[in-house]
Amino acid sequence: MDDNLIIKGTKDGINAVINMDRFKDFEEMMGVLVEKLSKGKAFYRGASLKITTDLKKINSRDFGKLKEVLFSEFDIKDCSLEDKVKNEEAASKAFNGIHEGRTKFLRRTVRSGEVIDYPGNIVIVGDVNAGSQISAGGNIIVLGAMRGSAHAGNGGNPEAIVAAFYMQPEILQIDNLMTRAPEESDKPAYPEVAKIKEGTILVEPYLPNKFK
Amino acid sequence: MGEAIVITSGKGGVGKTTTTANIGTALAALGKSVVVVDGDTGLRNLDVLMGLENRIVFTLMDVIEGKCRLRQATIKDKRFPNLYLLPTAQTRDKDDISSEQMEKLIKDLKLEFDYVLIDCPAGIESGFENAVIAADRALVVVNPELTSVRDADRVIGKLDAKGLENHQLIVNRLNYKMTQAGDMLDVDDILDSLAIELIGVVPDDRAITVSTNKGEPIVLDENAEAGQAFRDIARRITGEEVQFMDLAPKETGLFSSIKKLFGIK
Repeated sequence: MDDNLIIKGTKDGINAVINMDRFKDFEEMMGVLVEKLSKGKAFYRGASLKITTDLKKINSRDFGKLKEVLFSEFDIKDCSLEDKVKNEEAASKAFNGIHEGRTKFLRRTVRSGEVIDYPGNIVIVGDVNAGSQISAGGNIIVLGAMRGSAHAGNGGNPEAIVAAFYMQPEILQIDNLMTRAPEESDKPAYPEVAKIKEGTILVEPYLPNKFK
Repeated sequence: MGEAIVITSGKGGVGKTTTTANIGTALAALGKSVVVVDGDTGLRNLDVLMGLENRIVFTLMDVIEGKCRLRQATIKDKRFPNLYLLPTAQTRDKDDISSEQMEKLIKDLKLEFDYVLIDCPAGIESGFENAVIAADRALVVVNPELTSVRDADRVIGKLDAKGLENHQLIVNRLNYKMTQAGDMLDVDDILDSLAIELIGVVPDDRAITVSTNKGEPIVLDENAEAGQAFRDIARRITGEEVQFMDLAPKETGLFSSIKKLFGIK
């Protein structure tokens, strides 16, 4: 249960990883932290503590209060903050299984309001309806209509593609490029593939030579 | 043990309450024991459509709060002795009912009736949650409009997420002429994007407005097309196979007979 607040030893000292979402407020979190540290009071004396958490949820006044308690009650030498979010972002590298890699298969209609977020490839055997969001680290393949918004290669992979039998997305994103469907466009009856070519998103027939 | 069916749509004003009143009445006419439950606490209308608003003494809220027995709150219909209405409170709001209370109430009703029809409020908030919680089947009502289809899609997704996968679609207020002219979504367009089973198509019918104001469900009118559509849906709910009716206006006269003769549509 206790993944809200984990204390671990690292080579630089003690590291407390705190999930602020699990606590009602800062006071509650501080209570739990103090309680945990109290169990090994002697052990922590003179150590330096690094707190890893979502910095947006902590203000400097609260941190000051926390520091005071840590210094006076536990004799902690030094206390620093580290942003968990940034840490996670750095940790999640671009997905490199575009040609061969882990894939999520969905065999149903993805409906309005649904969000599918997966670090690998996504294959949907069904339709993706307007008002839904598909976000993949790799490719997005839809065996049906793509009417929602799609983001392929979202960890930073410009080689990812979006392919659909019927391509009418609200928003199309690959890597960090984004585009909308043109307002007045003919709707081809053949499958299409979207990919990045020379810095822009290009949507073309699934076999370009077949429709020349 | 009866079956609890929720009539829902997401969008408001598509005809959920009308559908509930009519299917309820049609099922009762087939000899089933039916209770229609108004789930729209604070904005109740089902009593008006059934023509029973003057008879409300106790409501669903009173039952939940233990102020009366279930039997006391259910109102017998004017026309069918096997049809009942369980009205809701107008002076309260949807958050005054918890899911557990609603679940128990519907379970109790299922013990006494063949069909428990729940009229769901618009939206996907607590009123929707409560209406859906104890249902065995959902009927999703859509109008042939993009906005309605969008909202229905969202609702179907919600139903699936709750494990209520027995759901069928009712297309309400279809104007045949407009669909033929391409001015209105037709049934195939709607089924194409929603990908769920169709249980009935109800044509647009001005007689509905009259029936609403009179408090007499349109199924009681033998001649109304909309009434026929609702009667067919009721029969399909009981498991009967009923052919979908042809909504094309009946052409009479010499010219159309000649066309028919040559097989021209």
